[in-house]
Amino acid sequence: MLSFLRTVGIFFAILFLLQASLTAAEPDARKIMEFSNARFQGKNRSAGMEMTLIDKFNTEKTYSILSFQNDIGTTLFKAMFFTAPLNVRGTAFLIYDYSGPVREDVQWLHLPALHKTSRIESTDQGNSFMGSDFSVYDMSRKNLDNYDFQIIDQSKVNEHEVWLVKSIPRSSKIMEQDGYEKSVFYIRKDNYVIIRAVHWVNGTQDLKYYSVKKLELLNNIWVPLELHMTLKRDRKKLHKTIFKIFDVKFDQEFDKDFFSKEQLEKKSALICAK
Amino acid sequence: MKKLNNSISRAFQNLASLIYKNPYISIIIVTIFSILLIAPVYRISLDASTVSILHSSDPALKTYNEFRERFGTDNFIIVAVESPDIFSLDFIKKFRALHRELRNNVPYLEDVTSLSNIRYIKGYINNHIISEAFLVGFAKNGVQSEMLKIKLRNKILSNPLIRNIYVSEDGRFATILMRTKLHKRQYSEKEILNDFHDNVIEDKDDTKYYLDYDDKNKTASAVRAILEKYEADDFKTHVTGTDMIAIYMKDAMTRDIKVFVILCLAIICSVLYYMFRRVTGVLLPVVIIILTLLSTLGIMVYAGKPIKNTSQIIPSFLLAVCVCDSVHILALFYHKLNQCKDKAKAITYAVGHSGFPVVLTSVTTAAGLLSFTTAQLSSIVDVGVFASIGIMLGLFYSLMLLPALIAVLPIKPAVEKYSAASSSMNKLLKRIANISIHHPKTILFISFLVIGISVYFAFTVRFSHDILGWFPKKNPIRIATELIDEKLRGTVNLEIIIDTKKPNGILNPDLLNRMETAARDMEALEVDGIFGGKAISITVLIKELNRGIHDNNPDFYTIPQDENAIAQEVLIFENIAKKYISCFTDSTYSMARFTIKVPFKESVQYIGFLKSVEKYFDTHFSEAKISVTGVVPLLVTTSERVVKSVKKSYTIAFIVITMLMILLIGDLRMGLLSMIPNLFPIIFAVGIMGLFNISIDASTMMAGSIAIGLAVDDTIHFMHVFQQYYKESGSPSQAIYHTLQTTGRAIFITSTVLSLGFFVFVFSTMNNMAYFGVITGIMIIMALLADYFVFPSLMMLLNPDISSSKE
Repeated sequence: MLSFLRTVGIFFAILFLLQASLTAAEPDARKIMEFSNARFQGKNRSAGMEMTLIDKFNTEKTYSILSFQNDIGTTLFKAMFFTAPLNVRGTAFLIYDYSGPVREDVQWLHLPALHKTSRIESTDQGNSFMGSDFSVYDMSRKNLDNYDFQIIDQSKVNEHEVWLVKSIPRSSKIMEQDGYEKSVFYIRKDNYVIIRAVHWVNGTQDLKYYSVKKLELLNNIWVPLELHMTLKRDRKKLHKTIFKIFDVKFDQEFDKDFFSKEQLEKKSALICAK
Repeated sequence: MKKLNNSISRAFQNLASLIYKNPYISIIIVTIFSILLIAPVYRISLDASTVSILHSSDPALKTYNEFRERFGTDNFIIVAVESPDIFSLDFIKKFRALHRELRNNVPYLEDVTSLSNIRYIKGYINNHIISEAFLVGFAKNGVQSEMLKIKLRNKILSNPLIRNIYVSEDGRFATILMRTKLHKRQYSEKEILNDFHDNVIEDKDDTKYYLDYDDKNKTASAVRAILEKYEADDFKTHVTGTDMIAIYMKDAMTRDIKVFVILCLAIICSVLYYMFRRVTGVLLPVVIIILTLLSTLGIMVYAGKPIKNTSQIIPSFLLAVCVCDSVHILALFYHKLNQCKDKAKAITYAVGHSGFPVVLTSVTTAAGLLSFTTAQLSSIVDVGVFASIGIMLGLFYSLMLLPALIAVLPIKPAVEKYSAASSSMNKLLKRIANISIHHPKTILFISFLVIGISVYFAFTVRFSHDILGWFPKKNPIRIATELIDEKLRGTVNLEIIIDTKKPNGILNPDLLNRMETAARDMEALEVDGIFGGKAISITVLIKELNRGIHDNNPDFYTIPQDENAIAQEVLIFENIAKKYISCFTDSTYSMARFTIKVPFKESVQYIGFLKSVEKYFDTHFSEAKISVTGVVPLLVTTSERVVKSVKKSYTIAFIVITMLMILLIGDLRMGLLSMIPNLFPIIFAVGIMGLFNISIDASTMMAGSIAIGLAVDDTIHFMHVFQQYYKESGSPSQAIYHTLQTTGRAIFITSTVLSLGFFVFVFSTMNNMAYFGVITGIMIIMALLADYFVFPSLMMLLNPDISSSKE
């Protein structure tokens, strides 16, 4: 009897240790977000982009964009040039997305028809990104110290294992800046790419659904090639944006001052002249 | 004809006899039937929205709903705060606190906007553009210098998006606009996380999550409670808006319906007791009319119809009208019972003799009401459908239940006493008969003279739909609306949609220039006392942005004259103020919204203004499709529907009832003649409306058709008895004497009940219902007088005295 009890005891002890070691193997929510946020997006990248805006009546509006970006770790530089439709051809955005809390992101907009380049002061990140349903916050790196994270579930999306990580801003000021009361991110376990997200829009009943419809490994970098963002209220679509990315090239030769206001204007003039 | 009458009479006698012999079967059948109908009555709802009286399929309402679907609702709760200096530090602090408290503590709000959170586009040196709140920089380190105050005042009052919307021109009023949610459903996190698809989930239970009256009332109460806390001599608050108007109207309806029903029942009980002097004489009719009322309300619930502003007359109307069936049957029953001392014989006799006329009068009343089913206003159609169903239910309960209840209740014969009142009534009726018999031509001359004068005044009657005028003058909502109308140049909107039908169509400089001119022209337009208080469109945003891009240089507060420049500028808007631009245009820039704010007036007053606006936009934007919608066109449409519905329903009621009268009397000439005393009261009452400047609206328009349906009831009874006596005696004067002494008494009682039943509406909170009650009451009294004087005079002149040949 005693030996039986001892065997049972040892069995449960092993089971407990096994479970504890398994738990320890799972990274915590903050770590998952850190991996995801720090994921390398490629140096000197260029791509073509198609932005389709769809309203609740399913009326579509499509823009063609040339996109350039460079990730130097502390800053992610982005330059985007509208090539179609004709009336916005040459309109260009220049974005400096700084990591960390020290500096605020900078956004310039060049309007070729007025020969003007204006710096758009963005008091809140909840502002739209190029008129889409994506906000500046959605497209920029997150300062993780501003949020509390929690794994709320694990699931599978299209056969891929994912963590469901809930993110809650630590103050109402951050909530107002980002434009979201909370978010749930679906992060792939194998590559830390956020393939889905739900955002609760601050001060409204609106929800934003983000999903990556196409994800490919290019030059050893996971690149989302089709992104959807749907704004919903009472489970009904209010508006939707689809980004389709193609011709992705890495390690392009950019001039030293490629991501400057002056180069933005020059490049815009070239696009307009074509 | 006589044979037919006899066989109908026998059929009613047999029915009464059968029920009398098997009273419990009849009581059980009626009980089961009524329980089934009454069961859902606790779910009856009230709808006081200003658009609820139009059909949901009405093109005007459809256009309005499409507009709201695209640009959001234009209905707000408006709080206006009055202060001698709204730019002072103390006021701004308190105003911001009020905004915050309303935002945080009022339930079911979609958004709250005021000076506190409205932003504008500002350009800085070095080409910086920022979307900044208006109140930024109103003080420095908690101190406001006179210079800062003047700067703030100029900044705010010079902005067309703010002036006369969020602040008054004189700088004494600041407003807070609150938009309520449509839906209150809270989805669980699990439901939300499973919603990664674009398909709309059709949820059958969805409608139960729409905000109901209780929810809206919670919102209104919370707003009032918060405002009360902030109220001070230098911080006077006023609240209005379509939601508040609807809540007030619904409160009024709830209170009024109770008052009408209680008063109506009190009147009915008093008259019944005065007439019969018996407990059963009061109890039996009251049981029947209450069953009728509850069953009708139950059917309304089954049909999914709420009680609306005009259909609130249904309860008291049914009580007053349906009691007449019981009165006719019971009057004969008690009279016969006292004579023969046998309940069975008495009820069989009573139903046999009065059953057919009661059916006929119910049919004519229902026919009058059914004429409303052709109306273009849904609440009027509801009155037509459900009041006529109620009339027929009342008839059914009277015929099925009265003999059964009489059989089971202990009712003893009594000795008929002729009171002093009864004798004076006889004298009065005799005197009336004498006048009619001896002065028929004079009576007819006076009557036609009165009709002639009435016709003159009837032509001065106006059609209207004056929602604000329905409220008492001292009502706080009316006072607030009139004040905001005066100080902020209007409270309701006229929305013009300029649809170019092509993407980026509105980004054309020429079109935008014309919209700029249109805004100036509309603000200068004044027709029939209606003025364009404010006209705004996307041009205001484009000009503001253009100035911002050019370092806030006021010279650039203009529309750029390059189509590409405009398209590129709006991209900035899409980045920093997307929600503002979506209020003025669609996502492809193919259509533009042009809003004109006007004062809240009675709808007919808007017609000239609306026509001018439509003509202006059709002429100046001929390349685009122009749609005009908003609260103002809806009010105008409602009044137009009133005019059409009045013409249609009055004509139908008159034709159907005339045909019924010809059919019932069995004589074309007499049938047509019998309609003269029934038209008389309607023309007279419309003349009275003209004389006292009471307009025909969705409520008062019902008076005519209802009154004609009720008035012919008396004539049917009158004609029925007159013909009998005339055939017997051959003397029209003898027949008139007898008719007045018998039927004349009964119709006096029923007319008294009916007119008092309508006069109770004078206790209504809303003026329109009070007018409806008074007008219908006058029509019924005039119908009685016409039956007493005009009808006998006509009979005297048209029927020769053949009594000598009969002898």
